[in-house]
Amino acid sequence: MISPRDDHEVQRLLAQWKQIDDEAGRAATARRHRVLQASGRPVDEYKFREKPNDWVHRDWMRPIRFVYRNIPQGVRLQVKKRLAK
Amino acid sequence: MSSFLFVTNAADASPEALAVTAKSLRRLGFTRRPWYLTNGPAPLQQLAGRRISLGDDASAEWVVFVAAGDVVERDSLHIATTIGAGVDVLYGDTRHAIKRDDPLPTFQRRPSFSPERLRSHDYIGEFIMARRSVVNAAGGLELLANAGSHDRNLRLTEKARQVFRSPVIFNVTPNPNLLPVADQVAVAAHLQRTGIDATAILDPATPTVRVERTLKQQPKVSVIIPTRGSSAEVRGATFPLVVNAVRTLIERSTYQNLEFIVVADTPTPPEVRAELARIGRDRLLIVDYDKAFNFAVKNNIGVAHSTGEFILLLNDDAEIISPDALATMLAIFEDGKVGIVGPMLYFEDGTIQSAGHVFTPDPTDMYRSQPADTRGAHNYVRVQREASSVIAACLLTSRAVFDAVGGLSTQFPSNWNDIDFALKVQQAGYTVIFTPHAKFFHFESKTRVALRIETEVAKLGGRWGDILDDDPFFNPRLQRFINVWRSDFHTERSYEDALGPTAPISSK
Repeated sequence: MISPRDDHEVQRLLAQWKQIDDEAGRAATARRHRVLQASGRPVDEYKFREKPNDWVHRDWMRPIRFVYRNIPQGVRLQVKKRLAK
Repeated sequence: MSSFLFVTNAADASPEALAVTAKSLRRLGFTRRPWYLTNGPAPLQQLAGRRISLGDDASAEWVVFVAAGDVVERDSLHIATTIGAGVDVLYGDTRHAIKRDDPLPTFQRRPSFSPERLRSHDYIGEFIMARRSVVNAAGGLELLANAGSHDRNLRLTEKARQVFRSPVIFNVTPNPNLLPVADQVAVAAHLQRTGIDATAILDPATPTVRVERTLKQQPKVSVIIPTRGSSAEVRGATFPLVVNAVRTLIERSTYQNLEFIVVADTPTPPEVRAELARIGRDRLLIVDYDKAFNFAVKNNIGVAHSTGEFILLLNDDAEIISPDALATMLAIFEDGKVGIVGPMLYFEDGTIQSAGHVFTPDPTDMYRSQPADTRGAHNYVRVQREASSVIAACLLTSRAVFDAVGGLSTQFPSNWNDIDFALKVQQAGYTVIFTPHAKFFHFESKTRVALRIETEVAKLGGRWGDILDDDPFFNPRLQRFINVWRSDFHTERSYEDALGPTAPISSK
């Protein structure tokens, strides 16, 4: 069996890593704030978007989706091309 | 105002294809466009028209490599004119000019610059823009115009200060949705030019090139395994998982400069401890842990007791498959910029558990539950590549990197400590590499759904929210398609079903 390291040394390492992690976290938070501010977005508490960018499946899109699905295929392809830009 | 020189290799190109490209250049505006054609048919000027001057233009700031038959989109030029002075090479997405009833995907959506992946295959494709100074440094116009796309893209990116991906359609191609090419000769020459001591091995069936680096030293690897000593049924037999993890590493791995640090919760049965001590002998240490569960703290304590130059974080329900897995992963660290390497993980039934993470923005295991022979979109699963994160169930890092970023953050006791660790490592200037050439089992339950704790989401997002919302090794245009896939997660649907056979870098 390997001998365990001295407990004081282990606690010292854990405390040192905790300090470095806090600094890394502060740097990351500051970087995120800079990115958000540069793009004009509000800096608020983060939450996962349940449906990221999912405008297609919103209720008010249902009639538009119905029309889109039933227009001639060539027209639909043109719409797709325009939206893809 | 930037100026552009368009370059096309017209070898084997039909006059009709060249006429399509010429027409697209004429439609870019009233400016006279220089077009450099190699191996072109005569009469070219008649084909090109009056608004195109054939030949080189040394004063052009940007060189645009475009395949015969492709249409150049004006947005690509606009982005090049507005891009920062530090960017030398630019690429974007591609749209396929498919026929109406063609089931093939319409778009190729590319990730941001991924040099390790570019060595594996040419995910950038034919259309690329580079500053003239970089073209000259990379071998000159004639050489690059006649080179294959993989060779050209490797040469250009070698000389670039910064390579930029824009998630915008840069070109329209009449080609069907081809798999990325892989040129073994080009990769071997690239390795020689850049001084990477490695062998380029072609897998012609996929096709991809495996860059197998030479492992020059045999550093000690500390394997850190947090456990409760639980037993589970695997392949019809019930045994303590941690014992199996240690025993299989000792018996199967070709790399044996190992030490094992098992961080055992107090309830770990004495017979499990005894068995570990028996098989681990003088290479194993059991550290007792009697506090509340915190995966990050348990791993940090294990690392604090270890002495190896490299650290393998390993779950107790993991098992090595490929005997050279550790040697393969270690060799990747010969590139001094690498901070983390993650292998391919499989469930007990052989389906994929994780092929790296993607942020959607919820961190997601790529190709989870897909068959073992899945190639993935554009052979995504078969290539060694950069990833934003890999799962900590099996993750190799160096002690220097672990120290530099402060280990796993204890702010994430259960979820996402691996995501946070990987992003801290990248913030410190290192890369995270996923390799399919190292394989492990991870006997995690297939139906397990990680409990989402909103305070942890807020903490993770507080640090990395912008990266979660736009994973650099994914494409923002694909995020809503991921939702289609996620909504049907527990059935057999895959990225391919949701996005088409070339997802995730292509979409329908």
